[in-house]
Amino acid sequence: MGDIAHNTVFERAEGAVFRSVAGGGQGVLLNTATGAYHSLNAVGCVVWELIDGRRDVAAVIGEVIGRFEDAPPERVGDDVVTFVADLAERALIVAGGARG
Amino acid sequence: MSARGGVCFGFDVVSDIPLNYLRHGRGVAGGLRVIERRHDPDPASLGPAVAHWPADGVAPASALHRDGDVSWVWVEDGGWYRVDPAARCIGVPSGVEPVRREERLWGLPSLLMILAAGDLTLHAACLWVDGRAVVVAAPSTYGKSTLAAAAHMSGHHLLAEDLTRVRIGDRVEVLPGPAMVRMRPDAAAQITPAGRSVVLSDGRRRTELDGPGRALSGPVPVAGVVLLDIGERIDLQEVASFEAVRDLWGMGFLGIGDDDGGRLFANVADLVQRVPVWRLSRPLVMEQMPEVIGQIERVVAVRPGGGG
Repeated sequence: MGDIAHNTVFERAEGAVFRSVAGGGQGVLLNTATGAYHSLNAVGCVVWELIDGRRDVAAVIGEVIGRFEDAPPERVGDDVVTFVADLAERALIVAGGARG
Repeated sequence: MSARGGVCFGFDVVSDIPLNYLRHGRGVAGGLRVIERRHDPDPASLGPAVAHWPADGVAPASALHRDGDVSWVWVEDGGWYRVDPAARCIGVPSGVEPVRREERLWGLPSLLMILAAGDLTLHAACLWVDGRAVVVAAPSTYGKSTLAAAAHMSGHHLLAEDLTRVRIGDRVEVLPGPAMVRMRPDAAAQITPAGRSVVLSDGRRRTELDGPGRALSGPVPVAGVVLLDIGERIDLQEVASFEAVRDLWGMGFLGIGDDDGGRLFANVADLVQRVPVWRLSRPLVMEQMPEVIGQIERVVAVRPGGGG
């Protein structure tokens, strides 16, 4: 995991269903193809929202850094890449291509 | 008190046959026509079942066949039901014991009508407590009906006994189900809700609930959901969202369409987002029933409002 090129553009998998819970501070995610059920924290919810088939991973990282200004940017970048790789491994997102 | 018109699950029901468990008033979920069919379908012409459920000691074996947009539900002790959501019509078999036939009508066939309307259906009883609904979800044999009947006798009208329809819109509401409760023989010996009763061959007593609760046919805002559990002592705890979705999702009824798994999950998560979910553990001891009912009342008291 973690071996994700920053110019990769991901989109949400067709069978992935996301919902905000706990007043929007958490999310739950279902892979309808496998039945696997996941919990997302606040940062995970933001990343999920940003994976839209248009932004590449670098853009997602940039947005997350902007929204969580108190967190060290390098740490945010590593965490986002790890999380994106995890989502891809669980078939919740699929690579749609690469930018430039 | 049989009728050919009334309300169940929010549907304005008009029926060819007398029905015993309809509520009074007007529905908010459109019409539902119930017609009696003279002939069963030829199972060979329907093709294989798309789903089937074995008997589980409480519910009989049943199967579901599809014929285009129409579903055929076969119930071991209740015959064939034809469900046509587009025509808003359920065809019921002739020659079946009327109480059992109606009981089956308000099961899987109605469930398919509700799912077609996009609403959530939970394996749950539902109680009216101070003008709001408390949904009590649990698997079979966890004592849902016994608790529901006891609470009903304490003045908390029963809105649904085993299948609860939840509509999630501007508010989160329950659309009350049939005005009846089924009791196992051991529980029925100790709890006797007022109303006309009949005991069928399975030994369970069906009671047609009467009184002012019969007029509760419109939407009732939901105050909370209780996951009923069995434990050594009485304990009520609010449940974290992740756990609540996981457990309630297992008590939701899935449809038969390709997207129904995702839709059920989304509806359950939306419900959890809008109303609190509690876990109520209690020993299966009749003497502690008043205290258990007190905990159900607490669900409403600690969160004024309701309806998400």
